[in-house]
Amino acid sequence: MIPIRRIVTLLLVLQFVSTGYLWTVNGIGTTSEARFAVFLAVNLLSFSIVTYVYTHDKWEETISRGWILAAALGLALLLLSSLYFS
Amino acid sequence: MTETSGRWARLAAWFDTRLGLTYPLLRPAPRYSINPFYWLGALTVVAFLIQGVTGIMMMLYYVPSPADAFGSTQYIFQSVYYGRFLQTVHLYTAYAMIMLAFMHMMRSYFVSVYKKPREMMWVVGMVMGFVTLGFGFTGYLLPWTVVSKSATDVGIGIIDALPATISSFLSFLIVGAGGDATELLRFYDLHVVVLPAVLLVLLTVKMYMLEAHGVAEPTTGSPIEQRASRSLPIFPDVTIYLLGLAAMFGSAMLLISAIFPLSLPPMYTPQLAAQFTAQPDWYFLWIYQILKISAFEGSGLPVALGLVTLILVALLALPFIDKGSSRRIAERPIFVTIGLIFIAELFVLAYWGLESPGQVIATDDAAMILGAVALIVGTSSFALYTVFGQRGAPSPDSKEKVSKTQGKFATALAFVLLLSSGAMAIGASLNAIVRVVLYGTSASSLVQLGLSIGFLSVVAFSTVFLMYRMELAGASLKRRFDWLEIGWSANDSH
Amino acid sequence: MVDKKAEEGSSVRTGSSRRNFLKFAMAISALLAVGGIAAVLKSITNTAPPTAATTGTSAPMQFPRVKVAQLNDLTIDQPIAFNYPLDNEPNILVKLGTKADGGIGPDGDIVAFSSICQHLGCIYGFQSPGSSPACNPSYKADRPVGYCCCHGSVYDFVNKANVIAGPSQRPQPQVLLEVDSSGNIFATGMGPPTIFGHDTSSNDVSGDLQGGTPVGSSG
Repeated sequence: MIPIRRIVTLLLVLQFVSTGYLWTVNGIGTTSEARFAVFLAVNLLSFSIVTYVYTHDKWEETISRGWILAAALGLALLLLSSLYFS
Repeated sequence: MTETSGRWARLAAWFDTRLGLTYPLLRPAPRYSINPFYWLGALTVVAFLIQGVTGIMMMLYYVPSPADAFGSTQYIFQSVYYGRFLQTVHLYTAYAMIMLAFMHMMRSYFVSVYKKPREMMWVVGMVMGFVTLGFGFTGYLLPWTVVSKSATDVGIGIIDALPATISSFLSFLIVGAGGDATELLRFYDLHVVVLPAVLLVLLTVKMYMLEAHGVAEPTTGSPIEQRASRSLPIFPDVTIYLLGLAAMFGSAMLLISAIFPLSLPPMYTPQLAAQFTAQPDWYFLWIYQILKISAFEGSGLPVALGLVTLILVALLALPFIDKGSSRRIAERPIFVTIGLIFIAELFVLAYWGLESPGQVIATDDAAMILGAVALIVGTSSFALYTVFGQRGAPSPDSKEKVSKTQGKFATALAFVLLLSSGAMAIGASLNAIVRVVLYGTSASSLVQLGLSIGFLSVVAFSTVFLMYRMELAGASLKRRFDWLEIGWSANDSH
Repeated sequence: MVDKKAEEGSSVRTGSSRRNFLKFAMAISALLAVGGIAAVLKSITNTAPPTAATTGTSAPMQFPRVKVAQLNDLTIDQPIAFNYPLDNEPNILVKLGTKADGGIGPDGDIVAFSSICQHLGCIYGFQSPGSSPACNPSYKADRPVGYCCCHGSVYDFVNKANVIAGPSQRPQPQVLLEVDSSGNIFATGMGPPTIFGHDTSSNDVSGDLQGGTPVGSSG
C-alpha cells in the first residue's frame, strides 16, 4: 500500500504548483476567473486533506488511505483539466 | 530528521513562548466534538470573516451615493481584476452564512442544546441570527440596481406598518431624514460598521458562555463513554481541524462562484422600477409570502406582522417554553415534530413566494397548502416515532440478529417508501375532501375521494403489516443511526 | 540513520519519524495555503482599464449607430418612437416643419429627444402647434413642444428642448442624428445633459451608456 508520506507529498506538490501559478499569473490578467478559482480551491482542499491526515495521525486513529489517495488524484486531475477551459 | 525537527521544535517554541499559543486559555475539546455538526456555528463565523475580507476589498472602490453606487459597483465588475469574482464570492458567502446560521439553529434545536444551563446562549444566538438577516437586508441595497432598490423599498414600507414607536425608531435608524441619499448612506454605515460591531460583541459573549459551559454532550452514549472521550488541546489540534473545515468551506464557495458567476441587473431608475415586480431575497421570501395572503391585505397587515413577530419571539424564548428534561430526540416527539413542520413550511412558503411574485394569495389556498404540509409532515413524524420509538430491552438473541446486515437496508427502504407514499396519500385525500366541501359533490370529485382514501388504506395496511413482521423478527434499525446522535432508545443509559 | 530505520521497523506506534514528517508537512501546507490566499488579495488590488481579455462583458465606449427612421416616411408633426441608446429608454423623433436648432434633413427640421422627462422620469408626449394634450385641455401649444402630463413641464422642440414652462430644471437631451444619401436616418449619439436616471451630477454623456443593454448589442 502506498505510504501516507507519498500521498501527503503529492498534496504538498499540488499546493506548491497552485500557489506558484496564482502568484505568477496575477497582474497579467489573462487568466479566467474560473481557472483562478479552481487553483485556489485545489490549494485549500489539499490543505484540508493534510489537516485530516495530521490530526488523525496525532490522535492515533486510522486514516482511510484509499479515500485520501482518490481525493489527491482527483484534485490533481481537476488542476490539469482547468488548464483546458479559458 | 532529528536535527531538522529539533530546529523546527525550537522555532515553534520561540513563537509559543511569545504568543502564548499553548497556554490553556480555552478548555480542551472532547473527541466527540470532532464532528461537522458541532462546527456549524464556527463555519458561520468563518463565512462572516470571508465577508469581511471581500467586503473590505470592495470598500476600496464602492461609493455610497445614489449617483455613483451603481457606477462604482459596475466598475468593480468590469475594471477590477477578478472584481466580478469578488462580488460573486461575497454574495454566495452571504447566502451560505445565512444558511449555515439556520442549520446551526436547527441542529441546536433538535438536540435541544438550549436546555439548562445554556438558555442564554440560545437567546444571544437568535439575536445574532437577526443581525445576520440585517446584514442581508442592508447589503442588498448597496448595488442600487432595480432589483435591490425595489425590494428594499417594499421592506421599508413594511417597517412603516409596525406600531408607531417601533417604526419611527427604525425609520430614523434606517432612512434618516428621508431621501435616497440619506437612506443609502445609513444602510452602508449599518452594513459596514454598526452590524459588524454588534455581531462581534455578541460573538464574544457567546464564546465566553461556551467556555463557561463547555460543549454540549451528545445525546447517545453513557456518561462514562463521554468522559473517556479524550480531550484535545485547542492549539494545535482543534485549531488545525477548524482550519481544515474552513478550507473546505472556502473551496466550496470558490468553486460555486466560478461555476455560477453573477451578472449585474440594470441600474435603478423610477420608471424601470415601475415595470419590475419587487421581490425580496430568498431568506425573506417566507415573510413576503405570509404578507401576501389576502386576509392580511390593507388593514390586516399589522396582523400578519404580529404573526411573524410571534413566530420569531417564540423562537427567541424557546428555552423558556420547552421545559422538558430530556435532550434526546426520541424523547421529544412534540418539539421535534414542530421543528420539522417549521422547516417544511419555510421551504414551501419560500418556494411559493418565488413562483408568485406580486400575486396575492387567496386565504383558502394558503390555509389548504400550509395545513396540508403541516398534516403530512406531522403525520410522518409521528409515524416514525411510533415505529422507531422507545421499546423494551432487546432479547439476547435479537442482538445477534442486529449484527446481521441482511435485509436491513431493504427494510429501511421499504419504510421510507411507505411513509412517503403515505404522506402523498394523506395529501391527496385532504385535497379531495376540501374539494368536495368547497365545490360540492360531483362525479369526478367523489371518484377522486374514493381513490385517494383507498390508496391511503392500502398504505396504512402495508405499514402496519411491515411493522408486525419486523416486531416478529426482532430487528432493530436504531443502531444504524447512532452517528446522528438522535438517541433512539431509552436503553442508551444517560 | 541506522537508529531511525530500526525505530521505524520495530515501533508499534505509527513511528515518530512519520509524526515529524507530518508536522513538517502541516506547517508547509499551512504556509502554502496562506500564500495562495495572499496571491488572491494581491491580484484583486490591481485595477486596469478593461480589455476584452479581462472582462466578460465590457461597457461600450461608443454610442451605437442605429437606424431609427426613413426620410420619406416622415410627415410633419407625426412623432416616431424609438429606443436609444439603451434598449429600454424611449425617445421621440419628429419632423417639425420649421427649421430647428440641431435639426437634420433637407429642411433642417428633423429632431429627436429623449422622452423621459428630466423632472421625475415620466414619459411625455409631443404636442404639435395649436394642439392640446388630452390630460390638460386648457394648455394650447403655440409651437412644437413636448408636454409632460405628470407635472406640466414643457420643452421647446425648436430650441433644443429647453424648458419653457413647468418644474423641470434641465432640458431634454437631444439625440444626435445623421441622414445618409438613401434617406436613412441614424441615431449616432446623445447630446448633453445626461438622460434622466443616469449620472445627473455631470453633463458627461458617456453616463448614458451605463446601467443597461445598449440597442443592437447582444447583451
